[in-house]
Amino acid sequence: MMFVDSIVLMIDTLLPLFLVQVYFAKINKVTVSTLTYVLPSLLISVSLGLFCYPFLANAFNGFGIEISKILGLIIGWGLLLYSAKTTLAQRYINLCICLISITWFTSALVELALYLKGYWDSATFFYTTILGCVVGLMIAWSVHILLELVLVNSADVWSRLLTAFFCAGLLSQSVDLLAQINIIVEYKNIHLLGSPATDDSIIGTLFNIFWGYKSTISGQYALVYMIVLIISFRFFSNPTARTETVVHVHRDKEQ
Amino acid sequence: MKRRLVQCCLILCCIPVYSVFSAEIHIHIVLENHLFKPSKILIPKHTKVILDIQNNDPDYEKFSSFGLNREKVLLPQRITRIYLSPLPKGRYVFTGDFHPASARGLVIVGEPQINCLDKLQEGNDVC
Repeated sequence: MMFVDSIVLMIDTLLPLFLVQVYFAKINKVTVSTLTYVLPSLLISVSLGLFCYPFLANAFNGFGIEISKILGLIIGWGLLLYSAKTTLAQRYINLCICLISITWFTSALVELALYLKGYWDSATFFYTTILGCVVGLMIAWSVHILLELVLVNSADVWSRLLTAFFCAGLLSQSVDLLAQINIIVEYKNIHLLGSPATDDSIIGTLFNIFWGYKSTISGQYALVYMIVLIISFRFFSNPTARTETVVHVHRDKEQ
Repeated sequence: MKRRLVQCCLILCCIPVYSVFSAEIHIHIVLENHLFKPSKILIPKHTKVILDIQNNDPDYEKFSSFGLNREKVLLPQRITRIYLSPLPKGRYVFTGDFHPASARGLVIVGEPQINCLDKLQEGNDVC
């Protein structure tokens, strides 16, 4: 059980991090250098996050973590949309992807570090957990490489659509977080697939990461999902300042 | 586009109104030696619940439940509050992610019983 739990946790934490780099690169047609810039800045943010976590957990009546997660999701999404619409991504590739990754995934990575620390301290099932983590990492890495290969040979609209679904799934988490801090009350009455892909299974986790799938959802979740999906797709589909600039340059040359 | 954004914001602003009108019950759970006490909780269906979890252990723990759709890190030597939205009838398992072999519990959501609600209002943790 520890083994499967660790695999699910690793996929749940690391796959979105890898996917966002693939999507960002495809949407903006840039190359992202993961090893030189993204990973070191994430390590710094996680170290800072671990330091700040207890203070943040006590802030805002004990809901500082949830509030920071919601703000992070919104800021990261805004930055992704803005970079897709302007030439920001071309000018500051690494800075953009780092900011998006940090705002979206720092708390998840900090919780992963706490999870591993908990097993290290208790010393029970530690090696099973580590083995599960390695398998989870390999699955997450393979899935993102596979997606990258698929998107290379497919039309741009698929990248935009998948990115919009990814953003919708990610941003819909804010509904659960708002319910967790008692801002809204969720009535989970929309049943989706159910037993074929339960939320705690590997398939369910992959579905959740790619499309924000959950076995049972509330009306608010569906509403936020649809709004984010439509807004994101419209932003990614419209001609960007970058493409307009390229068109202008071509016209000038022709004249 | 701006008009649509304003409409979306208005809809989202209306959502919090729900929380004002719903009744709620309060349950206190203690986590000690990586065990939840009580480990079984009976709550009436379609009722909002406030879980106050007191972590008496020196380690971090993570309250996690797919069924309840909640995940929250419990700081050592602290009380952490978790709000549960009204649930349909059923059994919902929750675990401490960092010690899942021992830290396990069950929320049983059943028919609302007057005796049960009275007990909870009198200050009993579980009914």
